[in-house]
Amino acid sequence: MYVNRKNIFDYRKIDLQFDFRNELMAYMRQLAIKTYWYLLGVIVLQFVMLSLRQVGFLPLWTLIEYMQLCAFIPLYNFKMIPYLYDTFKPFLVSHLVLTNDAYILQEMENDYFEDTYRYYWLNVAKLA
Amino acid sequence: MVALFAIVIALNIVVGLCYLFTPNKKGTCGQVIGGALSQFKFNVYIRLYMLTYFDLTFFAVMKIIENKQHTEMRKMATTASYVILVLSGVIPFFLMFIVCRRFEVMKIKHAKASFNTVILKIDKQSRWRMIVPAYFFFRRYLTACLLSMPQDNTFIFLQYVFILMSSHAYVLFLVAIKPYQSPLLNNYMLANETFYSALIIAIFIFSDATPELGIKIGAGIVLMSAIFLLIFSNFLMIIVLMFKGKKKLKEEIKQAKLKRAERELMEEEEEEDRRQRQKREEEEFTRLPEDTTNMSQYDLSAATNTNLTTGGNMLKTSKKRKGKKNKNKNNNDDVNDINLGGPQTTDYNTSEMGNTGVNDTHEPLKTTKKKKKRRDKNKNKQDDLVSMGQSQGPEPSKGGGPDEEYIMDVAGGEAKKSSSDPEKGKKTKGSSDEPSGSSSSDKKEKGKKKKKKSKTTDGEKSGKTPDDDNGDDAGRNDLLD
Repeated sequence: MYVNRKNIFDYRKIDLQFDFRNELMAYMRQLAIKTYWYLLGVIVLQFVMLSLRQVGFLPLWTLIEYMQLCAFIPLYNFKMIPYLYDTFKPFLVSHLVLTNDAYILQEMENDYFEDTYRYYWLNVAKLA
Repeated sequence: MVALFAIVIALNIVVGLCYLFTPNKKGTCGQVIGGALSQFKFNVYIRLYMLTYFDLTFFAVMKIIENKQHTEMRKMATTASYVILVLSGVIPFFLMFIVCRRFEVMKIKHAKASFNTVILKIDKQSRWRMIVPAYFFFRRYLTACLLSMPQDNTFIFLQYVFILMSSHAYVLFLVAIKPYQSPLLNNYMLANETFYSALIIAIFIFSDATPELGIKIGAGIVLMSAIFLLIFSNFLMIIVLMFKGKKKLKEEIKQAKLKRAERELMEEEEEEDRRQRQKREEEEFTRLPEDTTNMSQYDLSAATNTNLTTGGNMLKTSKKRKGKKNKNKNNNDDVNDINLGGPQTTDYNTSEMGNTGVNDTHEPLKTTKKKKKRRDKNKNKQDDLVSMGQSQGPEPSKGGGPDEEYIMDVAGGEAKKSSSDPEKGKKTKGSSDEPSGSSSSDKKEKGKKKKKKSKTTDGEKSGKTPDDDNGDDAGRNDLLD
C-alpha cells in the first residue's frame, strides 16, 4: 500500500522550474539576496537603538522569533510558486544561514534532506 | 551557531576582565560594566539558547530521521543529534521548573535577575501568564518535528493541522489572558501572531487543493502582504518605543498593572458573590425534600379531620412555587409557605397517605417552630410571608383558604400587590402563628410566637437583614474603600 502510494507520488511529481533566464525571476532573486543583508542591518540597528534607549529587547527578540517561524514555511509540504521562495529567503538570516555558499562541510554541499530543501537551496552543509 | 556561542563566551571573558581591572567598581563605569557582566549570568546564554533552540531541534530531528551513517562524521553527527534532542526536551522543563518555583518571589527584581529573559515583559500576577515561555519551547519543538517529516509520510497532513492549531491557540491565549505587562505589548504580540496565522492560512492554497494558478497568485500576494505587515508592525513598535522612552513606558506598565489588578479584584468579588449565591441556592434546594416530608406529615395529621380537597392542588401549587423560586433567587422561603401554612392549609388537603391516620398532633407544631426560626433568620423575604399570610388567611377554618392561596400563586400580579402592602404582611405573620387548635399549649405557643414576631417585625422595619449588613454589600464597600 505504502509502496504503491509512493510510486504514484513519484509518477505524478513535477519538479519546480526555476528559470533564471526569466528577467523577473532573476530580479526577484537579486532582491532576495539584498533584502537578506538589509534585514541583518535592521536587526543590528534595532539592537543598538533599543540598548541605547533602554526600553527592553522584546520587539527585537519577537521579530527574530517570528522570522524564524516564517523562514521555513516553504519547507512544508506545499508546492510554492518559485518566486515565493525568494520572498521567504531573507528570513533565513534569523537561522544564521547567512550566505548562499557553504564555507564549512563543503563536501555536503550537494547533500539535501529532500527536494523542498533543494528548491530552497538549503543543503546539509548550510544547515550545519 | 557554534561561532555565535564562541563569540558570546569571548564577550563574557572580555567584560569580566574589564570589570576586574576597573579601579572604582562603585563608580558609573564600574556599575555599567558590572551590569553588563550580570547579564551574562545567565540571561545572555538563556536568550542565545532560546534563539538557537528551533534550529538545534530541527537539525537534530532531521538528522535522526535521515539516518545516513555511512561515514564516521555522520555517525558522530547522529550521536550529537540525539544529545541535542534530549537537551531540547530537558532544558525547557528545567527553565520552567525554576520559573514556577520562584514564582512567588518573582515580583522582587533581584529574585528573577538571573533568568529575566525567559519571562521578558510578562505580567507576573498570575501563573497562567507563565505559559508563554513554555509555549515558546513547545511550539518550536513541535514545528521542528513536523518540518522534519518526510513528504511521503502518510501523516504529512498533520504538519499543516498542528501548525495552524498551535498558532490559533496562541492567538486565543493572547486575547483571553493578555500575558504581557501593557496593552501596547499585548497588541504587538497579537498583531505578530495574527500575521503569522494569516501566512499559514494562505499557504494552504499551495497544496493540491486547487490547480488554479490565479488563486495561487492571489494567495502569494496575501503571503507577501502578511510578511510585510509582520516587519511593519515591528518597525512601528520600535518607533513607538523610541518615542516613549524608558520612563514613560514604565509609567504605562505601572498604570496598566494597577488597572488590571483593580479589574481582577472586581472580577474575583463578583465570582465570590456568584459562588455564595450558588451555595445559598444549593442549601435551599437541599432543604426542599425535608420540607416536603414535613408537609406530608401535616397531611397525615390533617387527614384525621377532613377530606375536602385532593392533594393534587397542593402539589400543583408547590410545583409552581418551585418554579417561582427559580425566578426569584432571593425568595428562599417559598416552599416554607406551604409548611408555614400549617395545619390549617393541610386541613383542606389530604393525601392518600393521610388516610392511614398515623402521627400525633405534636409533630406539626414542632415543625412550625423550626420553620419559624428559619424564617426569622431570613427576614428579607417579605413577599413569601405575604403569600403565606394569604394562604393561611384570617379565617382558615372556612373553606376559602386553599383556593385563595392557589389564586394568589397563580395570579402573580395580585401577589405583587399584596406584597407591597405592609399591613398585610404584618397580619400575615400574626395569622401564621395561629395554630388550628385553641388548647392551653397552643395559647402558650401563641404568646411565644408573638414575642418572636415583634422581634422579626422590628428587624423588618430596620429595612435590612443581618445577612445584608454583614454580607456582600458591606464587604464590597470595605474592599472598594
